[in-house]
Amino acid sequence: MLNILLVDDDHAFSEAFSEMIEMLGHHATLAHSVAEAKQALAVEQFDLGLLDLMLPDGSGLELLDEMSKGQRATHLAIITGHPVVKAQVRTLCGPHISYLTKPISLDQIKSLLAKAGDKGQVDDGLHFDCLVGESEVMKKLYKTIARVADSGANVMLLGESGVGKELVARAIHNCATPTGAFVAANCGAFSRELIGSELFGHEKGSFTGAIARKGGLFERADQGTLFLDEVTEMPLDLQPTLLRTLETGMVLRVGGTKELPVQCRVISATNRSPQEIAEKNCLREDIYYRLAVFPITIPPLRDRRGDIPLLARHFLKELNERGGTTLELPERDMAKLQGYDWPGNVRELRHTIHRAYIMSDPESNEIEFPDQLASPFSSEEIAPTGLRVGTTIEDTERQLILMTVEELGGDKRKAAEMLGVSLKTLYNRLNQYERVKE
Amino acid sequence: MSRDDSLDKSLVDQCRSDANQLHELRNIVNAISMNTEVAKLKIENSQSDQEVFENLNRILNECKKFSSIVSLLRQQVDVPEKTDHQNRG
Repeated sequence: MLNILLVDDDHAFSEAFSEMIEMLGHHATLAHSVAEAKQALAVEQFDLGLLDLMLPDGSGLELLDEMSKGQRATHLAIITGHPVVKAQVRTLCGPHISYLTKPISLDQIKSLLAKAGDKGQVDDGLHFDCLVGESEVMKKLYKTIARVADSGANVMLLGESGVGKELVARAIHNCATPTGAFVAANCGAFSRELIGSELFGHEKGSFTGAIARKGGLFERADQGTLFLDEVTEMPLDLQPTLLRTLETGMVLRVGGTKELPVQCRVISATNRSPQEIAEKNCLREDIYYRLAVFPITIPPLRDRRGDIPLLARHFLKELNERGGTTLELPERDMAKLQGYDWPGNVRELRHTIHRAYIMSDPESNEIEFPDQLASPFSSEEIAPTGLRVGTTIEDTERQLILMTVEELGGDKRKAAEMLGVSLKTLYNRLNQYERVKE
Repeated sequence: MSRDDSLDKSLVDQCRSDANQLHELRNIVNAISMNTEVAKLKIENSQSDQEVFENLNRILNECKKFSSIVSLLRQQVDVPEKTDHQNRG
């Protein structure tokens, strides 16, 4: 539960806000002037302070010092009627402050509460309400997200398939708390004929099947964020239209004659490297620079193996909540999970946990992993065994034992452990092979 | 104070008054929006009709305030038109 101070002289708004906060499970204290707010701050500490700038006896900015004095970190949000105020306040207070633009929506408040609940931005292990991980590379990523969120700049997310590009896009959106929605689209999923209509909308009768006027994704994301996944799969001949929209902030529906203003941040994503994008010419150079004002590379899971237990527990917790179960992750399998290279990244880990959850014994209180986590895309090399039909079990066993001992540099104790036999049995077998050779 | 200075002051006062009224209008829209969100939440949570009515009444009161400010602004907009007409006459 968060303790919230709202400083606003508008009684009708304050009372409704207070009601809403209580309904969302938090506590709100109301102050209608700078003096009342100072009184409240003298006796209590708050997790979140919402400040109106125009108060009867001064400005909400006068309270910034008072709020930073407390031992508890207070997240600050300025309520402003005008977006221009943002830039002025940022100059005075630095970038780490939130803004609510009137009229304030429920989504804005929920997003702000999630952000304030984060403190150093962690709530229930989630950063920005959607990301999991405490590794150094992820901490660096969180700092980057916080910096870019307030800038409004277009962002291009780079990284292998399954690293969580859409979640990072959502994190930027959550951190920026815009008034509009987060709209996600996969450019690779649209047919070549329909992608223009999907992005920019169409007028009635503009093509066969256009039975009514339809707004596009840009219009739906107005004042919010448009996430374009697999942007490099967009047809080249449509890219000039996208470029024009990005440059002018105006959108022209297919078959339309009147341009409509749209203001949204575009976050694009691709699993191709910038070099590949340039070499294969899948994105025009001018549009690349428009989209990648701020490129962010998301690390693959194998570069943050320390996060694997956190992610695995998080996915299992979700499954337990959904299924009404209390299954646990066996600690003995953690090394196996961390040792695997996860070519499908976080997506593969999530599916593996889901599979293990489904396969778990209903009588057991733990999920059950398969012996091998190998995926067809795994880069782990499997040594050629030379096995062929017609080989006896005895010969196969000999080959396996000798290969294992050789692989472990002659360490018989380790080899016995790995093979699942006693050290005595291993020695017996090796002696037997020696005798056969003689 | 010259006639020009006097006109400038009058214009500044007028702009200030308009800005205050616009600020007030935005506050009213904000209160309407917030009370609507609360009413929606209450309906979703199946709270009593009486509790929802409280927010609806607040919305109606804000609408009345909005209406009276718009009427006031309308009167102010009418004034320069008359003055202009009289000047031409």
